[in-house]
Amino acid sequence: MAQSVKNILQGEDRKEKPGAVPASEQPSSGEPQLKGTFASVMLLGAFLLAAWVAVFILYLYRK
Amino acid sequence: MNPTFDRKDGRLVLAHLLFAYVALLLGGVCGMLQSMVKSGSITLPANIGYYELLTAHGVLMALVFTTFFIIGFLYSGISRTLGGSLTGVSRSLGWIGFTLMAAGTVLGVIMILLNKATVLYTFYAPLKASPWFYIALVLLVVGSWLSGYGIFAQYRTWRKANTGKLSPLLAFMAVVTMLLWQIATLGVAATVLLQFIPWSFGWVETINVLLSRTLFWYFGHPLVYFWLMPAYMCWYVIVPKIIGGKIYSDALARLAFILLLLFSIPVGFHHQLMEPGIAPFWKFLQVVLTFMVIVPSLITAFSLFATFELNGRARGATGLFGWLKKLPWKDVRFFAPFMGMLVFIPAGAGGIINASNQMNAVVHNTLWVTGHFHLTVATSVALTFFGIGYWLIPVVTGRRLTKRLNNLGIIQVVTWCIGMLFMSGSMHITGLFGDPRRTDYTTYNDSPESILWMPYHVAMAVGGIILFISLIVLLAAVVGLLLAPRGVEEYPIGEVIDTAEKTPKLFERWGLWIGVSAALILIAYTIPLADMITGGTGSPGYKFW
Amino acid sequence: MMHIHRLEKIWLTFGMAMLAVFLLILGLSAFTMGMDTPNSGHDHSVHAAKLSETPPFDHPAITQIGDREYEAVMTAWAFGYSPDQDQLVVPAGSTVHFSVTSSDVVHGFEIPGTNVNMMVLPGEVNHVSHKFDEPGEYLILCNEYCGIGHQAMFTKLIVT
Repeated sequence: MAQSVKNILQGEDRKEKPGAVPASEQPSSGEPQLKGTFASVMLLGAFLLAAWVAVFILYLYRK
Repeated sequence: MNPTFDRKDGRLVLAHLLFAYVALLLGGVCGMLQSMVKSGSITLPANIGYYELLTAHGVLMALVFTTFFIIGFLYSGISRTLGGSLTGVSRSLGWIGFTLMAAGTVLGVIMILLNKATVLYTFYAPLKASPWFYIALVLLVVGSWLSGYGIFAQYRTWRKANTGKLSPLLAFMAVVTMLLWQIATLGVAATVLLQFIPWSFGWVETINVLLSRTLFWYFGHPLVYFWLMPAYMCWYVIVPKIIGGKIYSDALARLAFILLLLFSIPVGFHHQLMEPGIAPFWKFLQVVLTFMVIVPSLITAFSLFATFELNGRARGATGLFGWLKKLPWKDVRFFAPFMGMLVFIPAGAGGIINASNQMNAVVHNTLWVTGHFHLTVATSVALTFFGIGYWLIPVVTGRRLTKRLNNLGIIQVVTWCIGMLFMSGSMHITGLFGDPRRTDYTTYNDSPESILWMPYHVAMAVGGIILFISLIVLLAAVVGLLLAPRGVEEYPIGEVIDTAEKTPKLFERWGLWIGVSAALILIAYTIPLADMITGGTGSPGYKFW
Repeated sequence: MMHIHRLEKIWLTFGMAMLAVFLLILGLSAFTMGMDTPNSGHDHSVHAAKLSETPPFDHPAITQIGDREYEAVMTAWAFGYSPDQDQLVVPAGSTVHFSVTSSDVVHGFEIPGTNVNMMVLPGEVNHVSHKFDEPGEYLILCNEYCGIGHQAMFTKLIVT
């Protein structure tokens, strides 16, 4: 049953033209396209995380 | 909308800006000399000491340059958006404030250069300066209060004439900034008026050291948000207009400012994490509150990137980062604040580390901390302010930012960033190696640690000299702007994107926010302060310089 | 009340969760694993002007209190520490518990390359402990401006 559902979904994907924006990715309820913003802030967040972890490791190492 | 800036208001704004640039120059000379001393490249003549220069540098950069520029910028914003000109009351308060602050600055700098106040800009007790140094601080702070009242007065007048209307975003932000300042300066005013002045005049024998430090840092943390919020004003409101875009969300911008107001004050203990006399629980509570003040900056990051992306996509940009190419990189009015935004990423990362309770032991009082605030205030805030100056000086003088001056500005900003990379980069690294801040040239008797640190001091001096060159270019540009051809320069004020939601009136319920702020301060400080007041002993004064 | 973009909600959730995790790690390790900030324990316990009459600070010294365990009772003053490197000698593998107060102004107490880094206030005693595994000469320096000799204020702990 699960496999047939999967087949149906895969079939639908293959029918879509390359380059078209899949329905799930279009902005919902008129929300603007902010994927670049999201990528940018997540990179920022990753930097904050990496910096903090690096100094935390240094702190533990020096204990 | 009246395209020319009110001439009387323009003089008030210009006075503040020019005073700020002069302070920056004097402070910059000190800073460059300090970096050269620490690298072993020069020794100072007998009549000037390293710690005198350091005191002057801190006071001129962190208290004078910043406060004057901020108040000038804020007055320009409220003149522009709250009716097109200041009321007589507002402008008068602006001038009285300026005069008091200027008098305080001159008195303070004289005392510092006479070696009567070699206590650094934090003036920690029980090092005891001349009472006239503390009086100079009082003049500076009281002057700024009057300047603030002038801003509140203009706002009040506008609101009475526009009942029910949402205040212009730039003016709202100016009011929040000065409100923060009023609440924050209560701490430094209390310690200076009630502790330092009586003690330094000899009317009382001793001073409660821990209490004075705590009252100072109650002020010292929100001080940095007093610097940051005007930079945020530029990023949120001015930059969108410069790029030809729109403000992403008025409501979220106001929310960010209210959160900054609430959570930047009850957090002073994160500057005192390595101190005795404060219970671990209270230190950690204020660390938790500190982490909450990070949230409005996370909101700001999203809003700013969104502004850029939506602007880019409206101009046909595609892909994840195509919108970057649509930004006006050659416009110094954009490029300077943008570099400020970019540098705020490592700046903020360092700040989170600094505030992390026991992790602070890795960096406390090392050059890492110095590297950190040279990114935050001396790059993010300073470059943004320089970027503002490039259009604000022409606006208030009825002149134009010429292409040549714009290009000079670009060079100035790039040079500043290169200098800061050398200087702050080295400071961060050598700080992690334990290299102490606020320290004159020394090798600790040729210790191996010093040998490790010295190359970084050389790199810091290289950076310091490059920064000074950038400073000279900046001042040349300022002179150029004052002599530029006459014309109408735009005061760039962004409009909110059409699809943004209506802003709740809640943000302007000042009584509510002052009440919440007071509650948070009382929760964070009452018990530890009471403990210090009742339990602490007093120290006599020392003049160890 | 306010509409927030779906992606912004995700960002803020991630950001706040990350900060919460940091706080959890810091809080747990500080309050349950003994990895806290330096603290006085008993606050406001000494009077700087009366240090010369207040044991144990009337005779600053390093004493052995157990197997490879030492207590270093020290005073900071402009511009040095007592006791200094003549007495600050311990064998490798020793844990030293430092208790330090100031007889005059605010000083620092920092051993570069370690987490030993704390403020020394008149009228308060601060505490920090460290296990010195490697032999060597460890610089103890003042990292809080205390006057004209601040850059010359240091001593050494010798680990044999």
